[in-house]
Amino acid sequence: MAHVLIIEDNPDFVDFVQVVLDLNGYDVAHTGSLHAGIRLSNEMPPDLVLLDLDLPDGNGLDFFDQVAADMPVLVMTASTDADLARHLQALGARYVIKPLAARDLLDLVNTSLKKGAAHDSPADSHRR
Amino acid sequence: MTRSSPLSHSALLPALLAALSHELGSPLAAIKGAATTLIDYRQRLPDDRIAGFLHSIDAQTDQLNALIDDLVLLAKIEAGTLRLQPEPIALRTVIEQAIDQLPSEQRGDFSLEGDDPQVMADAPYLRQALVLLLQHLRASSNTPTSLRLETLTTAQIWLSGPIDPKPHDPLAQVDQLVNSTDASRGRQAVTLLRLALSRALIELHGGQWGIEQRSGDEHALCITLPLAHEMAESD
Repeated sequence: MAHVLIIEDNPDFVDFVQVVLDLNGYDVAHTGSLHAGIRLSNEMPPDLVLLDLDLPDGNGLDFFDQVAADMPVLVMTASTDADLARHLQALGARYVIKPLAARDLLDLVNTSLKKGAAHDSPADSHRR
Repeated sequence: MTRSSPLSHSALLPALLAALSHELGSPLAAIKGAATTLIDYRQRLPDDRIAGFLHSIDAQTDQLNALIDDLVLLAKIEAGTLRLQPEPIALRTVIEQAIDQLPSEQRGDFSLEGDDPQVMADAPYLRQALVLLLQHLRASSNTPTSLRLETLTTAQIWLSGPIDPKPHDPLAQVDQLVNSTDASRGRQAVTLLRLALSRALIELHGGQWGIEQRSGDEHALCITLPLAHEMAESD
């Protein structure tokens, strides 16, 4: 069972993600804090992190500096800012613009986990 | 009565709008997520989960609606299409109505005393200005605020309590928004938007908005509005 960590501060959005992933057999954990998310990710690296950028205790982009470079991360942001998109691409981060439907969320998580597994192979071990 | 927008005189507007994207997108994301989960998974969800998603849609829609209302008001002020229809009104009544529009648990935080001047104002828009201001004060602090009405050459509303002078300075607002990098930027933008709208509506009424330093860190906010009989004489 794949372990997914959600780092997101909107409880209603978390409910949505948690229910969809629960019903599809994922093991889901959640925190609304960037710092707690960094700690949890380093203590027990999840198979995938779903990361919001606008968090009460900091900018989600700082997450990338403080966890292993090959940790699979899917950024979920409501921002359509072109500079942010370029920044995420430079980081090699996968990202999706909110809002998104339940089936799209599931497709993205499934795809990200497959890509993350591919990145774990010795031939392709660096995301950034 | 139309006047040029007080908001146009600063660089506040672009900074506000840029910072508001998160506050618009966040409720929308929750609504879309809840609705599509109900469409795709309703048969597999217990009743309490279904009710939870429906309540979420309801609450987030209200949040989004309030923000859209504020932005529509901002657009009207900026475009100069907001048309006030001033008439003589009792200021105390309008303030009491503004307090009554707050959620019941917040009304007790505001007390009102003093005169009952007649001012020349568009009652619905003046009430809206006061509601936005009281919401801002309540969002800034849970400390009680007292409102005192005085009649001099103008009607004066003195607000004493947790008045932070910084957000009342438009240039400081821009600096705060541009320099913030976390989620507080969006919430800060909503607070500042409501404060800026309140101030703009007061100024469109020919009123003034000033902060007075009291002892130490204490400040009072003074809003002045033209008295009805002064306006009638000047006409």
